Amino acid sequence: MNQISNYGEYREIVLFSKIKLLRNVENLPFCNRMTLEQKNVLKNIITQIYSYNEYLSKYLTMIDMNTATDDEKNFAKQALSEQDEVDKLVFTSHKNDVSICVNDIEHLTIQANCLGLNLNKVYGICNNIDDIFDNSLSYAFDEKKGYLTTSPYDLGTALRACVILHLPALEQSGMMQRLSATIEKMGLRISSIFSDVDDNGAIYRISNQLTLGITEKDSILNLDSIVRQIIDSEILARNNLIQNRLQVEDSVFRSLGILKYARSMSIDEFLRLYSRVRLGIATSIIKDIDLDKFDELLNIVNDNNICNMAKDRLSLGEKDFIRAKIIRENLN
Amino acid sequence: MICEYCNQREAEAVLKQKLNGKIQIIHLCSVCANSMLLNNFFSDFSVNNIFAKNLETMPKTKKVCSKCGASFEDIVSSGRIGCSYCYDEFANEINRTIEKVHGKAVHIGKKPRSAKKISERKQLIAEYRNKLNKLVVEQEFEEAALLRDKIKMLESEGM
Ligand SMILES: [Zn+2]
Ligand SMILES: [Zn+2]
Repeated sequence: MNQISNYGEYREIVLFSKIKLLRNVENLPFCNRMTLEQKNVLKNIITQIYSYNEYLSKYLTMIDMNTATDDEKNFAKQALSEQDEVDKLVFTSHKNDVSICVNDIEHLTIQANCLGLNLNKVYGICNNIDDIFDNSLSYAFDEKKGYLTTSPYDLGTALRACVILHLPALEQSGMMQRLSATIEKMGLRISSIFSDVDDNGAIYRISNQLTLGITEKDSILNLDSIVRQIIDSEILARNNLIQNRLQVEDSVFRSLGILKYARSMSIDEFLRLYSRVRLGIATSIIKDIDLDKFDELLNIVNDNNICNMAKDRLSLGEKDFIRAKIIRENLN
Repeated sequence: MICEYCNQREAEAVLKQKLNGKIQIIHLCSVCANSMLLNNFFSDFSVNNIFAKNLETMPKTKKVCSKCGASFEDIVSSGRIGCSYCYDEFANEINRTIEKVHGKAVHIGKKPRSAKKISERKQLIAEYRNKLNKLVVEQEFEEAALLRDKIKMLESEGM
């Protein structure tokens, strides 16, 4: 089995593709009703399978959240769904693009992601890991309901797939509203990333909603084909936008200037400027900033990470100050 | 107002999210807001709470799951099922909600190894039954008797 080292397609529009498989083990209550003893039993079972499997033990590192260092914890936390990390195990690749969580919301969460669009490859990795566990233990499964999960919404394939897209041109042209309605009709879900303001950096998350009565293959195919249509529209809209080259250049460089020199930056302002500069990089208006490195800022400048780095509780003003500093250091 | 995600702590933060073109306002406690908004921009907002809201309208029951000890009240308040047996124990209460979400669909996706064996056996039994009917019609009683034994054996394996 190979690691994800190469990219998916359409990096200039797609931030990343991600797939999660949710699994529970037979004859143990789900995580929300497990005793400490049962959690430890599950940890032991999974650790055994991990250490006897050549692929898993070669590519993934085990992090026990009860004994890990702060740095390890901060790294592994990105894979968890719940804030509370007690009694959890995380097996993760060094880039965090493949991970397995134990005792999170479900007994097992198998996840993989890659930069750009490549859902098939990402699913392949999850599916292989799923097979490894399936060979050594019995999953909670029902002929009609499929894989049994803590939330009935995930019954069936218990597969969640999503693609994160940057759609500044579609948003500017005012087409997102109509597009959203179409996507919803196709049985998919489109959401903006969380923000207090409406101007959210034009970053959208498109994900599958259907898990029962659909195969994994079709579920991924549906999502992939809709995402490709959206990408085509975004490319068209960008070409239109670029017609006003001077205006776009002005907005791009003005935003880059603020990112490079500001002394205080709220998360909302960052997202707004990030979106414009990213469009500039993607359309080669800006040539000396690496897109991957620039996207990494998204992970670095969020409040939690800033607080983790400072190892302290910070006031809002302090966070904005540190955020601006980090951005400056990364861009200059 | 109580946090719409964990249903436990007092909500302090208001978050806006555009969902399918409509703006959705979510009230969260500081712990949940931290884990969702600030820990990771891309976290998927789970739908547990919506599930729980659906269940609240279901008839109340005092039943308790014999395997995990969850009461129906526990499931409603946490928005989470207690164990795989809960799905059977509370079938009356939960199935309508499942139907609301998924319609009458049944699973057609991947199956774990254990389930594959069961469905293969079921298929084999069905095939043998067909053959048996033919044999009886053709009055091949000796062969039919042998086949009947085979079916019995397969069926007892499934017990
Ligand atoms: Zn909460
Ligand atoms: Zn139960």
